[in-house]
Amino acid sequence: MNRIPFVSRTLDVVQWLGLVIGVAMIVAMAVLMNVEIAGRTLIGVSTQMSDEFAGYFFTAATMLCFLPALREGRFLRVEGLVALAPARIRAAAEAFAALLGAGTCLVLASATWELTAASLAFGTRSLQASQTPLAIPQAVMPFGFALLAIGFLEWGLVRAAMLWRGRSVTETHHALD
Amino acid sequence: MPWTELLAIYGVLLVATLAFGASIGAAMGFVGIVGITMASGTMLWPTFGDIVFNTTTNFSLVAIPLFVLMGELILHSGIAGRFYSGISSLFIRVPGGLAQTNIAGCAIFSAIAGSSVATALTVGTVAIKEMRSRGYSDTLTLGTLTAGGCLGILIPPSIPLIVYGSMTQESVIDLFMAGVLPGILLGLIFAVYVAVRSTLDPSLTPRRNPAESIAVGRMMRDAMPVLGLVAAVIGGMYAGVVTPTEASAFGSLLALVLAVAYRELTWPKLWLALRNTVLTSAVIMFITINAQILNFAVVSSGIGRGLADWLVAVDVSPFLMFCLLLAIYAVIGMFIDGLSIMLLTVPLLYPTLMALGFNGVWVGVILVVFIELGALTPPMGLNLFAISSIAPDKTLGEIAWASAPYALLIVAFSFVLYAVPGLALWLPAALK
Repeated sequence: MNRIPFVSRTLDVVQWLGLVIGVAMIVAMAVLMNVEIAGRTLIGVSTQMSDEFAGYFFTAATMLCFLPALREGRFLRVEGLVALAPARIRAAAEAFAALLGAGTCLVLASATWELTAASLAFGTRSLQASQTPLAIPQAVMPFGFALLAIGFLEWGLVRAAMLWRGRSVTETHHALD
Repeated sequence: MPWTELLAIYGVLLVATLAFGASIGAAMGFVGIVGITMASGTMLWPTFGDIVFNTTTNFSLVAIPLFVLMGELILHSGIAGRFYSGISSLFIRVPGGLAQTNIAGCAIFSAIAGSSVATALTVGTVAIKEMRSRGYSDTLTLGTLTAGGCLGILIPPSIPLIVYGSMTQESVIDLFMAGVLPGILLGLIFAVYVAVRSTLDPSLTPRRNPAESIAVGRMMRDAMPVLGLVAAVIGGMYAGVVTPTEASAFGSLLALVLAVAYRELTWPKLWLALRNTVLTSAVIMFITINAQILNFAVVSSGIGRGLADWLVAVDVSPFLMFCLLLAIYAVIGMFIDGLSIMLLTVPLLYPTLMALGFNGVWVGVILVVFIELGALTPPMGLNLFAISSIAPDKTLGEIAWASAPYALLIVAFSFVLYAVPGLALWLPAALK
């Protein structure tokens, strides 16, 4: 089993959408900040919101791309020790790692949901000139973490099942620093 | 519960979860959540929401994806190849030849990429083919690429320094400036080593062609635009025209303009650059968010303060602390990537180092030097993996062996930086 019917297909679509929106957010950030620089240096006018909105765009890009990053094997892990173990112990370790990742993400999804709900209930707005209702940029956080929790479960289940049946899984080493 | 017992619990949990293959970010977040839950049940869980939102909207951290984008655009648009051939003629009469080009190329690309792996990959993609065709020894080629890549996180912009600044509230501009001189000096040390080694062992480099001359025209055409980009980004920041985050956006725009001007950037390449940017940023932010949660647990439980007070009480000398730090980073760096080590250790060590009288900006620079060391040491040396991915006929062991002399030079350089902290602190002070 290298895919979970329906779940994997649905996640494929969500992953693609997340990537496209994430890329759009990064482009929007770059455009906004360059407009700010040009406005400030050329005509002495500031947008008064580039730093604030760049942060919101970055939040959205980050949260929506957690799932694609996980499913493309970009998340860093210490694989050396587990790789030495027999296949079935590796399968158990994959399941454990997936549950731990999913559990952590669910706690964060719940915490960010509480924050969003409180912002919505109290009508909290940003202190900047735009006075943006904070529930709007915050709403993407519980969504992103919940998706990542599902992603962790799918990723771990698929890899654990493959290892259990004696098939190999690809190890990854991606660049960070 | 005493902080010593809590520290032991945190340490055991973290090592166990990492050893079982949990992702580094998830392991940090899990330990943080467990720590907070042990101290105050689920009462403080809502605080995690604030931590996540404050981290992802932190304006300093917003620079990360845009510096990554700038490097990706340069990498995928063919500018790297032109730049390499442009500056290569400058070094034809210097002992080491193209090996010196690798180091100089990496040092200059460091000022664009912000990442050691991106720097090693960018220059390595062009250099390996060129140097093999001219008969350079692979040991020299691979070693200079992995080592040169290390300069990527010391010479600004540097992603680890941005993250360090966001965690400790040290000025990112000061941190960037503090990395300049050590970065250049380390590059020079590598260059001297290459010159001495290739002079002592001429078989490492091909015989010099006396007909070859410095092609000033080609250098101007191919290298100057990149040097202009570097000058605009760094100059804009230090002249106070733009903030570091705005400099990242401005640099991305300039890189795009350059790529379009060279007519080598296609839509698929642009998509690839943007895609890699968001994915890399998501990974960095997942670790950063969870490190902040662990940081919250460490601070709330009093571990950071307790450790600092204890080390001051037992009168650990700053030099011993420095040696301990080097040993910790060298060992952990073999298993965990540099940025994660920094995120793991800074909350714990920063109060201690401050209590011992270290300067916060200097600490940022020395930690980056230490994580450079980790990038060169197996089994988790990311620069080794990067070069291995573009030199698949070489084993990781061979690449690690080629990099070993440079790792020793980094260790020696860290002691120089300890003895002469002004190497890092002079420039930020002079430019204020």
